[in-house]
Amino acid sequence: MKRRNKILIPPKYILIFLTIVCCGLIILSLVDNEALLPVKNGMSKVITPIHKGLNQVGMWFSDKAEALKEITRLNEENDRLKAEIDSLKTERNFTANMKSELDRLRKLYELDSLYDDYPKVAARVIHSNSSNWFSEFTINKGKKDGIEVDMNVIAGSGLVGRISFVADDYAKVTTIINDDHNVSAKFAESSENCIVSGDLTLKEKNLIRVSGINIDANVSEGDKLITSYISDKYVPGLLIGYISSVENDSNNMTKSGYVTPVVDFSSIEEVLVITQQKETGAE
Amino acid sequence: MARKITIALLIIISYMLQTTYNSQIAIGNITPNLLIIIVCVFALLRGRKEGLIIGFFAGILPDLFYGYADITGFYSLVYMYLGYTIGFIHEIIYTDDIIIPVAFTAICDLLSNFAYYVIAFALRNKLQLNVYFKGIMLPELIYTVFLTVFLYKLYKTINDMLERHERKQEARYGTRDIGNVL
Repeated sequence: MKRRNKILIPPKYILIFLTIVCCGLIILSLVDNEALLPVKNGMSKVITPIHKGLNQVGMWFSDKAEALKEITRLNEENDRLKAEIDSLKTERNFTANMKSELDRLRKLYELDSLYDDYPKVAARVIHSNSSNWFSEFTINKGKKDGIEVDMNVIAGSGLVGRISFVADDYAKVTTIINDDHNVSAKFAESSENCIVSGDLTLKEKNLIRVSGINIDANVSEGDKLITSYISDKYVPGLLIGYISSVENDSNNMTKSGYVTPVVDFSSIEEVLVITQQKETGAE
Repeated sequence: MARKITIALLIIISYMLQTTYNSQIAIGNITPNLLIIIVCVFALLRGRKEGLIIGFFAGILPDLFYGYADITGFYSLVYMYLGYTIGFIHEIIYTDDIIIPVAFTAICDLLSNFAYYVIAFALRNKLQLNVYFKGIMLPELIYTVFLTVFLYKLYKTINDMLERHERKQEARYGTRDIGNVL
């Protein structure tokens, strides 16, 4: 006979055994974050290819749907753009002059354009947190590509978050709208320092909280917020968002309000990881 | 064997859908909890032993990739106990009525979310439970329940097919697998 008789283990014992396993895992991950890395790496070897396949299928469909919509629009747009090119050409000559002047002045003030200076690595978002509680996602670059924990992540025009976990070929990004995330920021114009913290209750309105602004600070709606020099995780000068409202706190010493982030967190597909880390002098 | 592979595939597909296409399947930024549906439905159909094993393995995936503050094992623990508890219902009630799986999936979703809220939010002094309930738990509950109505039918069909297959295997080898009767 090919099949042997099954040994029946009562469910109670399996439950006790697996409970011990779970508690073991929880304690292990609390004590040593890196201990489960081999398991996670192995798991991602299985999961990542399936994700890639699924992503491609999804993109193929959305591409096809887009293409059909686009064709008619493209013709109109083509005519419009041709006209625009002419006007832009003249404008370009004009700005080229301005640029050289700007460069000269920048050199004089020893200012550097901030964004362009940081070395960056492009990465693609492969999947995001399955629960509704936290805003995290996984990118397809990991330790092998030189990604390290705490590197800053930007997308398009602004700050997305930072790397919170790295495995061999994937990394987890925690976003600034995540509920337990704080960023030390400052106002681009007035250089007032403040704290930007994610809040789940504001996620629906696409806002993040800002607090700790000095009561005397001259700030108003629409002011630009960038990462501050005193932040120990973020390199300075990354754009976070614009103030949407601000009001005095009840303690009459600080102001707080809300920021609209420049990044649309619901539809991030590609991000840039800044491979230069903030130097904290703690080495 | 066929059962193990099928259920493993179901868990992986659900998890993939939830993480890869979450922006496509989300309504108002809320994604349904497809894993809890599998745990609940199969625990109801097959009893506590399978409920707890499926719960454990369904929890291990989100645990490994997105445990809160990299705590691995929390989801496994919660889903496992939910599967085990729901398994008791299997021994008490047997009915084709859709209301039973829907009701228990709703309870499970709420309980797992509440457990998560306590660990990740209440312990950080974010105590406005009503805001989180209205904003996160309730929408997720409604969406999950809505899907359970359809997925229950699907999973039940799959389960029936597997049981037929198992009976055929038994007849061929002449052994009797009394498994979950105990």
